[in-house]
Amino acid sequence: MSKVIRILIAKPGLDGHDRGAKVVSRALRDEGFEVIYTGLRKTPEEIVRAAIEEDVSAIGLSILSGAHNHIFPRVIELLKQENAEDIIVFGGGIIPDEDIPALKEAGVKAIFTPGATTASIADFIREACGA
Amino acid sequence: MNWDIDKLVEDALAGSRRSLSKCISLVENGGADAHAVRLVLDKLGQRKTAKRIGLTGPPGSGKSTLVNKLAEAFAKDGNRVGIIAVDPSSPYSGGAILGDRVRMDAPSETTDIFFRSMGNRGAAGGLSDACAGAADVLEACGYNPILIETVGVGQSEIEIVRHADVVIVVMVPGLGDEIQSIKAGILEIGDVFAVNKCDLPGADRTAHELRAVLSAPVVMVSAMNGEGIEELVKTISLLSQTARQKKLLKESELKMKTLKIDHVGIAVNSIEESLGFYEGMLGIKAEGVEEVAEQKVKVAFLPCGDSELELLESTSPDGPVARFIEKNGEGVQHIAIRVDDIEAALEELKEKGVRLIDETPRYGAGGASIAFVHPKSAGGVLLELCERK
Repeated sequence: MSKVIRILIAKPGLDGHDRGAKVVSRALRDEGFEVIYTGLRKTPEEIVRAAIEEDVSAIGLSILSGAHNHIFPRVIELLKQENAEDIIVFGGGIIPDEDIPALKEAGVKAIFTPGATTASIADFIREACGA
Repeated sequence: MNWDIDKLVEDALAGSRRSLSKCISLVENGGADAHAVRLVLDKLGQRKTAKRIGLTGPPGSGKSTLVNKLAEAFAKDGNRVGIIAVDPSSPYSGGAILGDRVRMDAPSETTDIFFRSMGNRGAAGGLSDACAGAADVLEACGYNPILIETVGVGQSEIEIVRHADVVIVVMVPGLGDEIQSIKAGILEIGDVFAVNKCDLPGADRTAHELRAVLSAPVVMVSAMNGEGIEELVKTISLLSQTARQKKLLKESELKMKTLKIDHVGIAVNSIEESLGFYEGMLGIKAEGVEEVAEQKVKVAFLPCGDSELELLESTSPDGPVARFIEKNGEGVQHIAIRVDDIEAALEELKEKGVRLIDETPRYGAGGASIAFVHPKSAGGVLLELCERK
Protein backbone atom coordinates (compact mmCIF):
# COMPACT_ATOMS: atom_id res chain seq x y z
CA MET A 1 0.00 0.00 0.00
CA SER A 2 1.35 3.41 -0.90
CA LYS A 3 1.80 5.76 1.99
CA VAL A 4 -1.00 8.26 2.56
CA ILE A 5 0.29 11.84 2.49
CA ARG A 6 -0.74 13.84 5.54
CA ILE A 7 -1.15 17.61 5.30
CA LEU A 8 -1.85 20.22 7.94
CA ILE A 9 -4.06 23.09 6.83
CA ALA A 10 -3.68 25.89 9.35
CA LYS A 11 -5.23 29.26 10.00
CA PRO A 12 -2.65 31.41 11.72
CA GLY A 13 -3.28 34.84 13.08
CA LEU A 14 -6.42 36.70 13.79
CA ASP A 15 -8.57 36.65 10.68
CA GLY A 16 -11.71 34.60 11.02
CA HIS A 17 -12.35 33.68 7.42
CA ASP A 18 -11.72 30.03 6.72
CA ARG A 19 -13.84 29.39 3.65
CA GLY A 20 -10.69 29.15 1.57
CA ALA A 21 -8.97 26.81 4.01
CA LYS A 22 -12.05 24.57 4.06
CA VAL A 23 -12.37 24.51 0.27
CA VAL A 24 -8.72 23.53 -0.06
CA SER A 25 -9.03 20.92 2.72
CA ARG A 26 -12.02 19.36 1.04
CA ALA A 27 -10.34 19.36 -2.38
CA LEU A 28 -7.23 17.69 -0.95
CA ARG A 29 -9.42 15.11 0.76
CA ASP A 30 -10.88 14.28 -2.63
CA GLU A 31 -7.35 14.02 -4.02
CA GLY A 32 -6.61 11.31 -1.46
CA PHE A 33 -4.70 13.27 1.18
CA GLU A 34 -5.34 13.04 4.89
CA VAL A 35 -5.95 16.64 5.84
CA ILE A 36 -5.70 17.76 9.43
CA TYR A 37 -7.45 21.07 9.88
CA THR A 38 -6.40 23.20 12.87
CA GLY A 39 -9.35 25.56 13.14
CA LEU A 40 -9.13 29.32 13.43
CA ARG A 41 -6.68 31.68 15.12
CA LYS A 42 -3.69 29.48 15.79
CA THR A 43 -0.29 30.72 16.83
CA PRO A 44 2.81 29.60 14.89
CA GLU A 45 3.75 27.60 18.01
CA GLU A 46 0.47 25.71 17.98
CA ILE A 47 0.75 25.07 14.26
CA VAL A 48 4.26 23.64 14.48
CA ARG A 49 3.30 21.51 17.44
CA ALA A 50 0.30 20.17 15.54
CA ALA A 51 2.44 19.49 12.46
CA ILE A 52 4.89 17.47 14.54
CA GLU A 53 2.30 15.49 16.49
CA GLU A 54 0.41 14.69 13.31
CA ASP A 55 3.60 13.82 11.37
CA VAL A 56 2.53 15.74 8.29
CA SER A 57 4.62 16.13 5.16
CA ALA A 58 3.49 19.68 4.52
CA ILE A 59 1.82 22.65 6.18
CA GLY A 60 -0.53 24.88 4.22
CA LEU A 61 -0.99 28.28 5.84
CA SER A 62 -4.11 30.21 4.91
CA ILE A 63 -4.07 33.88 5.74
CA LEU A 64 -6.17 36.85 4.76
CA SER A 65 -5.16 39.34 7.43
CA GLY A 66 -1.94 40.62 5.92
CA ALA A 67 0.29 39.24 8.66
CA HIS A 68 1.96 36.70 6.34
CA ASN A 69 5.31 38.53 6.25
CA HIS A 70 5.61 37.98 9.97
CA ILE A 71 3.84 34.67 10.47
CA PHE A 72 5.16 32.54 7.60
CA PRO A 73 8.86 33.06 8.43
CA ARG A 74 8.06 32.48 12.10
CA VAL A 75 6.55 29.06 11.34
CA ILE A 76 9.65 28.14 9.33
CA GLU A 77 11.94 29.31 12.10
CA LEU A 78 10.08 27.20 14.66
CA LEU A 79 10.26 24.15 12.40
CA LYS A 80 14.03 24.61 12.25
CA GLN A 81 14.21 24.79 16.03
CA GLU A 82 12.40 21.46 16.19
CA ASN A 83 14.68 19.90 13.57
CA ALA A 84 11.65 19.56 11.37
CA GLU A 85 12.61 21.74 8.45
CA ASP A 86 11.91 18.82 6.12
CA ILE A 87 8.22 19.62 6.55
CA ILE A 88 7.23 21.64 3.48
CA VAL A 89 5.51 25.00 4.03
CA PHE A 90 3.20 26.54 1.46
CA GLY A 91 0.73 29.37 1.76
CA GLY A 92 -2.39 30.85 0.31
CA GLY A 93 -4.71 33.78 0.72
CA ILE A 94 -4.55 37.48 0.04
CA ILE A 95 -0.83 37.88 -0.51
CA PRO A 96 0.47 40.75 -2.69
CA ASP A 97 2.74 39.68 -5.53
CA GLU A 98 5.56 41.88 -4.27
CA ASP A 99 5.70 39.96 -0.96
CA ILE A 100 6.13 36.57 -2.62
CA PRO A 101 9.89 36.65 -3.40
CA ALA A 102 10.79 37.44 0.20
CA LEU A 103 8.51 34.69 1.50
CA LYS A 104 10.11 32.17 -0.87
CA GLU A 105 13.51 33.42 0.23
CA ALA A 106 12.44 32.66 3.81
CA GLY A 107 11.65 29.08 2.83
CA VAL A 108 7.98 29.06 1.80
CA LYS A 109 7.91 26.62 -1.11
CA ALA A 110 4.82 27.95 -2.92
CA ILE A 111 2.20 30.66 -2.62
CA PHE A 112 -1.29 30.22 -4.05
CA THR A 113 -3.26 33.40 -4.53
CA PRO A 114 -6.91 33.89 -5.58
CA GLY A 115 -7.65 32.04 -8.80
CA ALA A 116 -5.24 29.17 -8.17
CA THR A 117 -6.94 25.84 -8.85
CA THR A 118 -7.17 23.20 -6.15
CA ALA A 119 -5.70 20.73 -8.64
CA SER A 120 -2.57 22.87 -8.91
CA ILE A 121 -2.22 22.76 -5.11
CA ALA A 122 -2.58 18.98 -5.07
CA ASP A 123 -0.05 18.60 -7.87
CA PHE A 124 2.40 20.85 -6.06
CA ILE A 125 2.12 18.82 -2.84
CA ARG A 126 2.54 15.50 -4.60
CA GLU A 127 5.62 16.71 -6.39
CA ALA A 128 7.11 18.39 -3.33
CA CYS A 129 6.53 15.24 -1.26
CA GLY A 130 8.04 13.05 -3.96
CA ALA A 131 4.86 11.05 -4.47
CA MET B 1 12.75 8.70 4.17
CA ASN B 2 14.49 5.81 5.88
CA TRP B 3 14.47 6.00 9.63
CA ASP B 4 16.57 3.83 11.87
CA ILE B 5 13.80 2.23 13.88
CA ASP B 6 15.79 1.37 16.98
CA LYS B 7 17.07 4.92 17.17
CA LEU B 8 13.63 6.33 16.48
CA VAL B 9 12.01 4.37 19.30
CA GLU B 10 14.90 5.24 21.60
CA ASP B 11 14.47 8.96 20.88
CA ALA B 12 10.73 8.69 21.32
CA LEU B 13 11.18 7.05 24.70
CA ALA B 14 13.62 9.79 25.62
CA GLY B 15 10.91 12.36 25.04
CA SER B 16 11.23 13.46 21.40
CA ARG B 17 7.72 14.31 20.19
CA ARG B 18 8.84 14.13 16.59
CA SER B 19 10.20 10.60 16.98
CA LEU B 20 7.10 9.53 18.86
CA SER B 21 4.99 10.91 16.05
CA LYS B 22 7.10 9.10 13.43
CA CYS B 23 6.72 5.83 15.37
CA ILE B 24 2.95 6.22 15.29
CA SER B 25 3.11 6.81 11.53
CA LEU B 26 5.13 3.63 11.05
CA VAL B 27 2.57 1.69 13.06
CA GLU B 28 -0.23 3.31 11.10
CA ASN B 29 1.27 2.57 7.71
CA GLY B 30 1.65 -1.09 8.63
CA GLY B 31 3.96 -3.62 7.02
CA ALA B 32 7.49 -4.46 8.05
CA ASP B 33 8.21 -1.14 9.78
CA ALA B 34 5.14 -1.42 11.96
CA HIS B 35 6.26 -4.91 12.89
CA ALA B 36 9.74 -3.64 13.72
CA VAL B 37 8.36 -0.97 16.06
CA ARG B 38 6.23 -3.64 17.70
CA LEU B 39 9.29 -5.82 18.24
CA VAL B 40 11.24 -3.00 19.88
CA LEU B 41 8.32 -2.26 22.20
CA ASP B 42 7.94 -5.94 23.03
CA LYS B 43 11.58 -6.08 23.96
CA LEU B 44 10.91 -3.31 26.46
CA GLY B 45 8.44 -5.61 28.13
CA GLN B 46 5.53 -3.24 27.87
CA ARG B 47 2.93 -3.84 30.54
CA LYS B 48 -0.17 -2.25 29.04
CA THR B 49 -1.21 -0.68 32.31
CA ALA B 50 -2.06 2.82 31.10
CA LYS B 51 -5.72 3.67 31.37
CA ARG B 52 -7.40 3.61 27.98
CA ILE B 53 -10.55 5.63 27.91
CA GLY B 54 -12.79 5.38 24.86
CA LEU B 55 -15.27 8.02 23.78
CA THR B 56 -17.93 7.18 21.28
CA GLY B 57 -21.27 8.57 20.21
CA PRO B 58 -23.13 10.03 17.27
CA PRO B 59 -21.61 12.71 15.01
CA GLY B 60 -21.94 16.15 16.49
CA SER B 61 -22.59 14.93 20.01
CA GLY B 62 -19.55 16.84 21.23
CA LYS B 63 -17.01 14.03 21.58
CA SER B 64 -14.03 16.16 20.55
CA THR B 65 -14.93 19.01 22.85
CA LEU B 66 -15.42 16.55 25.68
CA VAL B 67 -12.09 14.86 24.91
CA ASN B 68 -10.44 18.25 25.14
CA LYS B 69 -12.03 18.99 28.51
CA LEU B 70 -11.23 15.54 29.92
CA ALA B 71 -7.63 15.72 28.70
CA GLU B 72 -7.18 19.06 30.42
CA ALA B 73 -8.71 17.75 33.62
CA PHE B 74 -6.37 14.73 33.66
CA ALA B 75 -3.36 16.82 32.63
CA LYS B 76 -3.99 19.31 35.41
CA ASP B 77 -3.49 16.47 37.88
CA GLY B 78 0.00 15.99 36.47
CA ASN B 79 -0.76 13.19 34.01
CA ARG B 80 0.73 13.16 30.53
CA VAL B 81 -2.31 12.60 28.37
CA GLY B 82 -2.36 10.92 24.97
CA ILE B 83 -5.24 11.40 22.57
CA ILE B 84 -6.05 9.40 19.46
CA ALA B 85 -8.97 10.83 17.51
CA VAL B 86 -10.37 8.95 14.54
CA ASP B 87 -12.34 10.47 11.68
CA PRO B 88 -13.67 8.68 8.61
CA SER B 89 -11.58 8.20 5.47
CA SER B 90 -13.25 8.64 2.13
CA PRO B 91 -14.24 5.31 0.60
CA TYR B 92 -13.69 6.92 -2.81
CA SER B 93 -10.41 8.85 -2.62
CA GLY B 94 -8.89 7.39 0.55
CA GLY B 95 -8.43 10.94 1.75
CA ALA B 96 -9.88 12.36 4.94
CA ILE B 97 -10.60 15.55 6.78
CA LEU B 98 -9.33 15.07 10.30
CA GLY B 99 -11.04 17.83 12.20
CA ASP B 100 -10.97 16.79 15.84
CA ARG B 101 -8.05 19.09 16.63
CA VAL B 102 -10.28 22.07 15.98
CA ARG B 103 -11.85 21.56 19.40
CA MET B 104 -8.53 21.58 21.25
CA ASP B 105 -7.61 24.60 23.29
CA ALA B 106 -4.13 26.02 22.98
CA PRO B 107 -1.53 23.74 24.61
CA SER B 108 -0.30 25.00 27.94
CA GLU B 109 3.34 25.20 28.96
CA THR B 110 2.76 23.25 32.13
CA THR B 111 0.84 20.28 30.80
CA ASP B 112 1.71 17.56 28.30
CA ILE B 113 -1.05 16.48 25.96
CA PHE B 114 -0.11 14.59 22.78
CA PHE B 115 -2.86 14.70 20.19
CA ARG B 116 -2.91 12.47 17.13
CA SER B 117 -5.59 12.39 14.45
CA MET B 118 -6.20 9.29 12.36
CA GLY B 119 -8.30 8.41 9.34
CA ASN B 120 -10.09 5.11 9.82
CA ARG B 121 -8.65 4.02 6.46
CA GLY B 122 -11.54 1.77 5.65
CA ALA B 123 -11.75 -0.09 8.95
CA ALA B 124 -15.26 -0.86 10.10
CA GLY B 125 -16.30 -0.49 13.70
CA GLY B 126 -15.56 3.17 14.38
CA LEU B 127 -11.78 2.98 14.85
CA SER B 128 -8.73 2.52 12.66
CA ASP B 129 -6.69 -0.67 12.66
CA ALA B 130 -3.69 1.20 14.01
CA CYS B 131 -5.42 2.56 17.13
CA ALA B 132 -4.25 -0.13 19.48
CA GLY B 133 -0.67 0.03 18.21
CA ALA B 134 -0.60 3.82 18.44
CA ALA B 135 -1.91 3.62 21.99
CA ASP B 136 0.87 1.15 22.83
CA VAL B 137 3.48 3.58 21.47
CA LEU B 138 2.00 6.44 23.50
CA GLU B 139 1.97 4.29 26.60
CA ALA B 140 5.59 3.28 26.12
CA CYS B 141 6.47 6.96 25.97
CA GLY B 142 4.84 7.60 29.32
CA TYR B 143 1.37 8.75 28.36
CA ASN B 144 -1.38 7.73 30.76
CA PRO B 145 -4.32 7.98 30.41
CA ILE B 146 -4.88 7.58 26.68
CA LEU B 147 -8.15 8.93 25.34
CA ILE B 148 -9.44 7.29 22.18
CA GLU B 149 -12.18 9.06 20.27
CA THR B 150 -14.08 7.06 17.65
CA VAL B 151 -15.58 8.38 14.46
CA GLY B 152 -19.13 9.58 14.87
CA VAL B 153 -21.01 6.31 15.20
CA GLY B 154 -24.49 5.04 14.54
CA GLN B 155 -25.93 2.13 16.42
CA SER B 156 -23.51 -0.69 16.07
CA GLU B 157 -19.89 0.45 15.74
CA ILE B 158 -18.55 -1.05 18.90
CA GLU B 159 -14.90 -1.83 18.15
CA ILE B 160 -13.86 0.58 20.92
CA VAL B 161 -14.90 -2.02 23.51
CA ARG B 162 -11.87 -4.13 22.65
CA HIS B 163 -9.42 -1.28 23.07
CA ALA B 164 -10.64 0.74 26.03
CA ASP B 165 -10.85 -0.09 29.72
CA VAL B 166 -13.66 2.36 30.16
CA VAL B 167 -16.06 3.33 27.38
CA ILE B 168 -17.88 6.63 27.59
CA VAL B 169 -20.89 6.85 25.32
CA VAL B 170 -21.63 10.49 24.60
CA MET B 171 -25.32 11.20 24.11
CA VAL B 172 -27.20 14.40 23.42
CA PRO B 173 -30.83 15.37 23.93
CA GLY B 174 -33.25 15.18 21.05
CA LEU B 175 -32.12 12.03 19.25
CA GLY B 176 -35.21 9.95 19.82
CA ASP B 177 -37.63 8.58 22.35
CA GLU B 178 -37.13 5.88 24.91
CA ILE B 179 -37.35 3.03 22.42
CA GLN B 180 -33.87 4.13 21.29
CA SER B 181 -32.57 3.56 24.79
CA ILE B 182 -33.48 -0.12 24.88
CA LYS B 183 -31.94 -1.02 21.53
CA ALA B 184 -28.97 -3.32 21.29
CA GLY B 185 -25.54 -2.18 20.12
CA ILE B 186 -23.82 0.97 21.20
CA LEU B 187 -25.98 1.44 24.28
CA GLU B 188 -24.82 -1.88 25.63
CA ILE B 189 -21.14 -1.03 25.56
CA GLY B 190 -21.07 2.10 27.70
CA ASP B 191 -19.44 1.86 31.11
CA VAL B 192 -20.62 5.39 31.66
CA PHE B 193 -22.99 7.60 29.68
CA ALA B 194 -22.36 11.30 29.32
CA VAL B 195 -25.39 13.33 28.35
CA ASN B 196 -23.64 16.27 26.75
CA LYS B 197 -25.11 19.69 26.01
CA CYS B 198 -26.96 19.37 29.30
CA ASP B 199 -27.98 23.00 29.09
CA LEU B 200 -30.25 22.20 26.15
CA PRO B 201 -33.96 21.54 26.66
CA GLY B 202 -34.74 17.84 26.91
CA ALA B 203 -31.39 16.88 28.46
CA ASP B 204 -33.04 15.93 31.74
CA ARG B 205 -35.46 13.69 29.93
CA THR B 206 -32.68 12.00 27.95
CA ALA B 207 -30.75 11.31 31.15
CA HIS B 208 -33.92 10.08 32.85
CA GLU B 209 -34.73 7.67 30.01
CA LEU B 210 -31.19 6.30 30.01
CA ARG B 211 -31.18 5.86 33.78
CA ALA B 212 -34.45 3.98 33.58
CA VAL B 213 -33.00 1.24 31.41
CA LEU B 214 -29.26 1.22 32.08
CA SER B 215 -27.33 0.09 35.10
CA ALA B 216 -24.28 2.16 34.06
CA PRO B 217 -23.85 5.61 35.56
CA VAL B 218 -25.32 8.50 33.58
CA VAL B 219 -23.60 11.85 34.03
CA MET B 220 -24.92 15.15 32.70
CA VAL B 221 -22.18 17.34 31.29
CA SER B 222 -21.62 20.38 29.19
CA ALA B 223 -18.30 20.01 27.42
CA MET B 224 -18.61 23.59 26.29
CA ASN B 225 -18.84 25.24 29.71
CA GLY B 226 -17.24 22.53 31.81
CA GLU B 227 -20.31 21.57 33.82
CA GLY B 228 -20.19 18.01 35.15
CA ILE B 229 -16.66 17.33 33.91
CA GLU B 230 -15.32 16.84 37.41
CA GLU B 231 -18.00 14.28 38.20
CA LEU B 232 -17.31 12.49 34.91
CA VAL B 233 -13.56 12.32 35.68
CA LYS B 234 -14.31 10.89 39.11
CA THR B 235 -16.66 8.29 37.64
CA ILE B 236 -14.07 7.28 35.06
CA SER B 237 -11.35 6.89 37.68
CA LEU B 238 -13.55 4.67 39.82
CA LEU B 239 -14.59 2.52 36.88
CA SER B 240 -11.14 2.10 35.39
CA GLN B 241 -9.76 0.53 38.54
CA THR B 242 -11.90 -2.56 38.18
CA ALA B 243 -12.64 -2.38 34.49
CA ARG B 244 -9.25 -3.43 33.23
CA GLN B 245 -9.32 -6.80 34.93
CA LYS B 246 -12.92 -7.43 34.09
CA LYS B 247 -12.24 -6.74 30.44
CA LEU B 248 -9.20 -8.98 30.39
CA LEU B 249 -11.29 -11.77 31.85
CA LYS B 250 -14.01 -11.17 29.28
CA GLU B 251 -11.51 -11.25 26.48
CA SER B 252 -10.03 -14.52 27.63
CA GLU B 253 -13.49 -16.02 27.90
CA LEU B 254 -14.17 -14.95 24.38
CA LYS B 255 -11.07 -16.40 22.75
CA MET B 256 -11.84 -20.08 23.19
CA LYS B 257 -15.32 -21.25 22.50
CA THR B 258 -16.66 -24.50 23.80
CA LEU B 259 -19.75 -25.71 22.01
CA LYS B 260 -21.10 -28.79 23.79
CA ILE B 261 -20.29 -32.20 25.16
CA ASP B 262 -19.28 -33.98 21.97
CA HIS B 263 -19.14 -37.45 23.40
CA VAL B 264 -18.43 -39.55 26.46
CA GLY B 265 -15.81 -42.23 25.95
CA ILE B 266 -16.48 -45.54 27.68
CA ALA B 267 -13.86 -48.27 27.86
CA VAL B 268 -15.33 -51.69 27.26
CA ASN B 269 -13.94 -55.19 26.94
CA SER B 270 -16.10 -55.91 23.90
CA ILE B 271 -18.15 -53.51 21.83
CA GLU B 272 -20.37 -56.32 20.70
CA GLU B 273 -21.23 -57.37 24.24
CA SER B 274 -21.82 -53.78 25.37
CA LEU B 275 -24.13 -53.09 22.46
CA GLY B 276 -26.42 -55.69 23.96
CA PHE B 277 -27.03 -53.29 26.78
CA TYR B 278 -27.01 -49.94 24.94
CA GLU B 279 -28.95 -51.10 21.92
CA GLY B 280 -31.02 -53.80 23.52
CA MET B 281 -31.91 -52.11 26.81
CA LEU B 282 -31.63 -48.39 26.01
CA GLY B 283 -32.42 -48.40 22.32
CA ILE B 284 -29.39 -46.33 21.41
CA LYS B 285 -28.27 -47.54 18.00
CA ALA B 286 -24.60 -47.70 17.07
CA GLU B 287 -23.58 -45.89 13.92
CA GLY B 288 -20.69 -47.79 12.42
CA VAL B 289 -17.53 -49.10 13.97
CA GLU B 290 -14.15 -47.65 13.17
CA GLU B 291 -10.63 -48.66 14.04
CA VAL B 292 -8.09 -46.02 15.04
CA ALA B 293 -4.81 -47.82 14.60
CA GLU B 294 -2.72 -45.13 16.21
CA GLN B 295 -4.62 -45.52 19.46
CA LYS B 296 -4.89 -49.29 19.16
CA VAL B 297 -8.60 -49.04 19.57
CA LYS B 298 -11.88 -49.93 17.91
CA VAL B 299 -14.61 -47.36 18.29
CA ALA B 300 -18.40 -47.40 18.04
CA PHE B 301 -20.41 -44.18 18.15
CA LEU B 302 -23.87 -44.21 19.64
CA PRO B 303 -25.66 -40.92 18.94
CA CYS B 304 -27.72 -39.83 21.89
CA GLY B 305 -29.51 -36.53 21.37
CA ASP B 306 -26.99 -33.80 20.64
CA SER B 307 -24.07 -35.85 21.89
CA GLU B 308 -22.78 -39.36 21.54
CA LEU B 309 -21.50 -42.24 23.55
CA GLU B 310 -18.23 -43.63 22.28
CA LEU B 311 -17.51 -47.25 23.11
CA LEU B 312 -13.81 -48.02 23.07
CA GLU B 313 -12.46 -51.54 22.72
CA SER B 314 -8.74 -52.09 22.71
CA THR B 315 -7.24 -53.90 19.74
CA SER B 316 -4.04 -54.73 21.59
CA PRO B 317 -3.22 -55.57 25.22
CA ASP B 318 -0.76 -52.67 25.39
CA GLY B 319 -3.14 -50.00 24.04
CA PRO B 320 -4.23 -47.12 26.26
CA VAL B 321 -7.77 -48.47 26.62
CA ALA B 322 -6.51 -51.91 27.63
CA ARG B 323 -4.28 -50.30 30.22
CA PHE B 324 -7.18 -48.19 31.48
CA ILE B 325 -9.34 -51.27 31.97
CA GLU B 326 -6.50 -53.12 33.64
CA LYS B 327 -6.22 -50.30 36.16
CA ASN B 328 -9.83 -49.21 36.62
CA GLY B 329 -12.00 -51.85 35.10
CA GLU B 330 -14.56 -50.99 32.45
CA GLY B 331 -16.17 -47.55 32.65
CA VAL B 332 -16.07 -43.91 31.63
CA GLN B 333 -12.61 -43.25 30.24
CA HIS B 334 -12.82 -39.72 28.92
CA ILE B 335 -15.16 -36.82 28.24
CA ALA B 336 -14.89 -34.87 24.99
CA ILE B 337 -15.83 -31.22 24.67
CA ARG B 338 -16.35 -29.80 21.22
CA VAL B 339 -14.58 -26.51 20.50
CA ASP B 340 -14.87 -24.23 17.50
CA ASP B 341 -11.13 -23.90 16.89
CA ILE B 342 -8.97 -26.58 18.46
CA GLU B 343 -5.64 -24.99 17.57
CA ALA B 344 -6.62 -21.70 19.15
CA ALA B 345 -7.97 -23.53 22.17
CA LEU B 346 -4.74 -25.48 22.66
CA GLU B 347 -2.65 -22.38 22.29
CA GLU B 348 -4.71 -20.53 24.84
CA LEU B 349 -4.66 -23.37 27.34
CA LYS B 350 -0.92 -23.73 26.93
CA GLU B 351 -0.51 -20.02 27.53
CA LYS B 352 -2.45 -20.36 30.74
CA GLY B 353 -0.24 -23.19 31.93
CA VAL B 354 -2.72 -26.03 31.50
CA ARG B 355 -0.99 -29.42 31.10
CA LEU B 356 -1.68 -30.93 27.72
CA ILE B 357 -1.09 -34.48 26.55
CA ASP B 358 -1.30 -33.33 22.93
CA GLU B 359 0.06 -29.88 22.17
CA THR B 360 -1.05 -30.16 18.57
CA PRO B 361 -4.28 -31.71 17.29
CA ARG B 362 -4.31 -35.21 15.83
CA TYR B 363 -6.75 -37.43 14.02
CA GLY B 364 -9.63 -38.88 15.98
CA ALA B 365 -12.43 -41.28 15.12
CA GLY B 366 -15.18 -39.85 12.96
CA GLY B 367 -12.81 -37.45 11.22
CA ALA B 368 -12.46 -35.08 14.16
CA SER B 369 -9.34 -33.17 15.16
CA ILE B 370 -8.69 -34.06 18.76
CA ALA B 371 -6.28 -33.42 21.62
CA PHE B 372 -6.20 -34.57 25.21
CA VAL B 373 -5.80 -32.41 28.30
CA HIS B 374 -3.96 -34.06 31.17
CA PRO B 375 -6.19 -35.24 34.05
CA LYS B 376 -3.79 -33.47 36.44
CA SER B 377 -5.10 -30.18 35.03
CA ALA B 378 -8.70 -31.26 34.67
CA GLY B 379 -9.71 -32.46 38.12
CA GLY B 380 -8.84 -36.10 37.45
CA VAL B 381 -10.84 -36.29 34.22
CA LEU B 382 -9.17 -37.26 30.97
CA LEU B 383 -10.52 -34.41 28.88
CA GLU B 384 -10.60 -34.52 25.13
CA LEU B 385 -11.05 -31.40 23.02
CA CYS B 386 -12.42 -32.02 19.59
CA GLU B 387 -13.27 -30.00 16.55
CA ARG B 388 -15.44 -31.30 13.75
CA LYS B 389 -15.46 -29.60 10.39
